[in-house]
Amino acid sequence: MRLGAGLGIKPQHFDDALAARETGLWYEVHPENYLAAGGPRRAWLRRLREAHPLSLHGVSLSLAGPDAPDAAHLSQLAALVFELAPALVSEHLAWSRLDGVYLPDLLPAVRTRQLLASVCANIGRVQDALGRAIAIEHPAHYLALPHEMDEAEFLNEMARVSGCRLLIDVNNVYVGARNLGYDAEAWLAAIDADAVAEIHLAGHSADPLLGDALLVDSHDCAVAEPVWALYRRLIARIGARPTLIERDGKVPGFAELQAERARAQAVLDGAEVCV
Amino acid sequence: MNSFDYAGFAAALWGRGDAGGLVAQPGFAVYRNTVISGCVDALIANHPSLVTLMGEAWLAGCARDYVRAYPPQDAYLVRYGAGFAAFASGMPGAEAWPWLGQVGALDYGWLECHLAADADPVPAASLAALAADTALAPHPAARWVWSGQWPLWQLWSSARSGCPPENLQWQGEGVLLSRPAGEVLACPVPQEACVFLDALAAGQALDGAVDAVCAAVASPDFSGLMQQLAGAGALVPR
Repeated sequence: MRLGAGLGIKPQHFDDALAARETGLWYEVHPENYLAAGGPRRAWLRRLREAHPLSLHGVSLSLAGPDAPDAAHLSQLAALVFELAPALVSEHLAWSRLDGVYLPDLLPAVRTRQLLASVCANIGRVQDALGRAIAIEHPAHYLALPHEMDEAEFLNEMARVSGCRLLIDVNNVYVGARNLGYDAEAWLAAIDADAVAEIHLAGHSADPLLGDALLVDSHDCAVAEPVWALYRRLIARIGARPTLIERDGKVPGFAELQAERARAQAVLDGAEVCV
Repeated sequence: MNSFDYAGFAAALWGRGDAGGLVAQPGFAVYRNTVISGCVDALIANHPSLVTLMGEAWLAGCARDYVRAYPPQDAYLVRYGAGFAAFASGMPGAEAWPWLGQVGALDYGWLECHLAADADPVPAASLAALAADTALAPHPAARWVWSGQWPLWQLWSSARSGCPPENLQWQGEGVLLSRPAGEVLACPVPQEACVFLDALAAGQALDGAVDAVCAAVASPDFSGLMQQLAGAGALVPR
């Protein structure tokens, strides 16, 4: 089945998620929440996988960090991937681990040729361990850093060198463009269409202290209209791609999430199929 | 390897240094808040009975101190906070609740039970056929605690369901957590159950575990004990 619009899924929606039958529907989870040795979580995920296509979207391999991915974590992730044979596997262009401490965020690094080389080496380690290509997402940005490479250029070259695919988060592009003053439309236009395997859409919110001067990729509300507009133009350019609605905070009822998902599916249905 | 100052950035997340001036940008606080709240939220979510007993504001204060002293060592925040209950029980405001650490440790025991490996338990129906030298072990998901001093079952089960404990009968109590049918099951157990499971966990065979119980408890009910443990799916063949 072709993947259309999917949902990031939470345990409270398990029964609804299992029963849903919309065309193109798929689900995405963070594997870190399911690396249990056994028990009901793992069983829950197996049942979901039996009923629907699944995507594993990792948040902790720290590919842009100074070290290689943690070997124990990678082997547990590989076991989960081999067990579930998910439709998609993805990670982030970020770091979250240093000197034996896990920092639960997607932290930024300065984009240099050196970073590109170390990230590509880390992606290679992961792809070798999993026996498949993964997609890499660019996180939202909040800091002006002395980058040597443009982000789209970095992502395109990372995909070309490592053989990974790209996960384009349209909300992250919008948030970063607003925070740092770049052009979201031009950013998206510079991405190699052939490299894009998946798209994320999520809501953002204004910083409680600074308001609209600092947008935060909060995933706690509906996708904003300017983000939908960017998404429609991206799909018109590159064709349909599996698209995920993410909601991690103030999670509403399943029907509300399904309505937002249907909006993305309608955009995909209207696009010329691009293989 | 590349030349980005990771250590300086990480130190500034904990309030040390300025990450080469980056902390002056308003956006740095987004990272700092996300890292700390991610850890604090996980500790609170992992200890629901402590939230009931002490309130979320007090517990969040303890959690912020704990995160700085013992930041997570891996990305499995679903099991972060192995020492948090003991840490919280030593914080100002906890003096009046001497059982707080043991109650909070049961929350962590629940997590361990929830996440542990699967295994086929010994069915209650097969107990009668067990020989004295049978090698049994606690199920990988089984967790048990006995307190001779505090009504652990009343305190924890009430707090776990969101109700502050009331009308307590002050007696020693034990708690067994197990996974007989997928989900975690909690039940009160007598001292002999905990002594018996301790002995099995230490590698004793059935007869040795029985001896341990007889040494610790006057006139134990072995038939009831075995039915309860097997019924809870707490025993596996070794």
